[in-house]
Amino acid sequence: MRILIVDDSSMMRSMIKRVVRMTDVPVDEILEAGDGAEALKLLESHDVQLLLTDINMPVMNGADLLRRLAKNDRWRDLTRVIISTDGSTERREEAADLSVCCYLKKPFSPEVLRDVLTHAAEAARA
Amino acid sequence: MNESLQLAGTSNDRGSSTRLIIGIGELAVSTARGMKITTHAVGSCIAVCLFDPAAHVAGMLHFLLPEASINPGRAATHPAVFADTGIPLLFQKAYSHGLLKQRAIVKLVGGADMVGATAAFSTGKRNLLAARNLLWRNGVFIAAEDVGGTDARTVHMSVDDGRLQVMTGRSQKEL
Amino acid sequence: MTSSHTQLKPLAPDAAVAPIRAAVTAVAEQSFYAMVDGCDEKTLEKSPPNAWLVAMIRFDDGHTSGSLACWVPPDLALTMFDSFCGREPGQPLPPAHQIYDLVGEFSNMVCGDWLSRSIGHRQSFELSQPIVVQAPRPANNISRRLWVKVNERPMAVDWYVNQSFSMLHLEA
Repeated sequence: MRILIVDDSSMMRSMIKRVVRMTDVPVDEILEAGDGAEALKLLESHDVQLLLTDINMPVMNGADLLRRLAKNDRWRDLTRVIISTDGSTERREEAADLSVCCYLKKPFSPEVLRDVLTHAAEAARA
Repeated sequence: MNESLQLAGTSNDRGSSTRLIIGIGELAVSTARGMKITTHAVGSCIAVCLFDPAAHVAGMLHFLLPEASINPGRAATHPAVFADTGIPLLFQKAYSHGLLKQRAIVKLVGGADMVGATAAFSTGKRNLLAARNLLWRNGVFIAAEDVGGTDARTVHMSVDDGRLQVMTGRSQKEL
Repeated sequence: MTSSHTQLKPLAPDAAVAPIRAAVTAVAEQSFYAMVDGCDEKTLEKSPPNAWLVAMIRFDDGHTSGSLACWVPPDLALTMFDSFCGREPGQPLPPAHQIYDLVGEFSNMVCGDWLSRSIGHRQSFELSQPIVVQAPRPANNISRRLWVKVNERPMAVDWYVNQSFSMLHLEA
């Protein structure tokens, strides 16, 4: 499985990568992007099965990224997870409309992220 | 080879042929089939329990305080009193019996907010944060926890399957 | 988006202290394994006089805007880095830009958590990218500055909310 982590904090990406490596989720490659535009470029050039994205980012935020992905059948099977400080009902409702599989609110413990990853990875393999 | 081993102050006559009892500031590691490891009075302390299902190694540490720097002299003679000396020691002893970190199933019990001095210093919470921090920094997930609250707990751990029975007052929980 | 009549909590500046403190505690405990207590003058006096990192975030929820800034002493910043990233004992020290990033992410999470507590769970918000700079130890006696102790070291949090806070938000 190829995973793409999108967050403007390189340390948050690093923490998420560490958790991914500690789990049993079979991962071939972990890609990273600092904003939605960078993420789109990577999605266009790589076959990604699982996307983990923040919302508040410069250039293109996570909500805009997800809207772009929703418009293109090419990414119909891409499993999407939001990891964000914004856990409002408004965002969660929007996420549900954009085929988001899981919504994880920051702050979180590594164990909570592990559980979300395990669930999302199963969805990606299905 | 089946072997049970008590360390850091436990006496050989505490327990029986099927039960190892450890106290505060003590740890035990065992591979003996049919054995249980037990500890009482887990109040603001934490019982760190680990198990490797493939190697059948079980270990338990009952630590009292988060950091050895509070009392280096005591840490030198009683490392199991502190999280940052006791947890590495527990793992080292378990490794010597065949436990592999990537297979280790780790559970935490305790960290209660007891009345008196420990409540004033929030010792239970400090101990819990210290244990979680150490395990994360050493690349180990926590599989399950029964922590917090205001009551002391008793923990019985099965060496056969790593399951915990946690008794709090009149209630019992399996972990 | 908004229609009738359930009142959201307005983001009142003078009521910010408790939710900010709760946000710092939640973030510190869950993602940084750090203990948060009240801060005293002695702790502040013993802290390094220079090289603090201050991370500022601007926020806007469509009705209210403002900013939050976290001031972190250098020794605490490194401890927080180790705890968040899981730096194993014996691994090399991180470069400065990674610690800046980490302090920025801490402020980001505190700001987001504070807003979630303050404006209600219905409404979304936007946060700017954190701006992190180095500065001398902040002064003790500024209004809208909350002092806490994180793992026995001082930390300050400043906040500013613009005057439109007095508008109440109504929603279904």
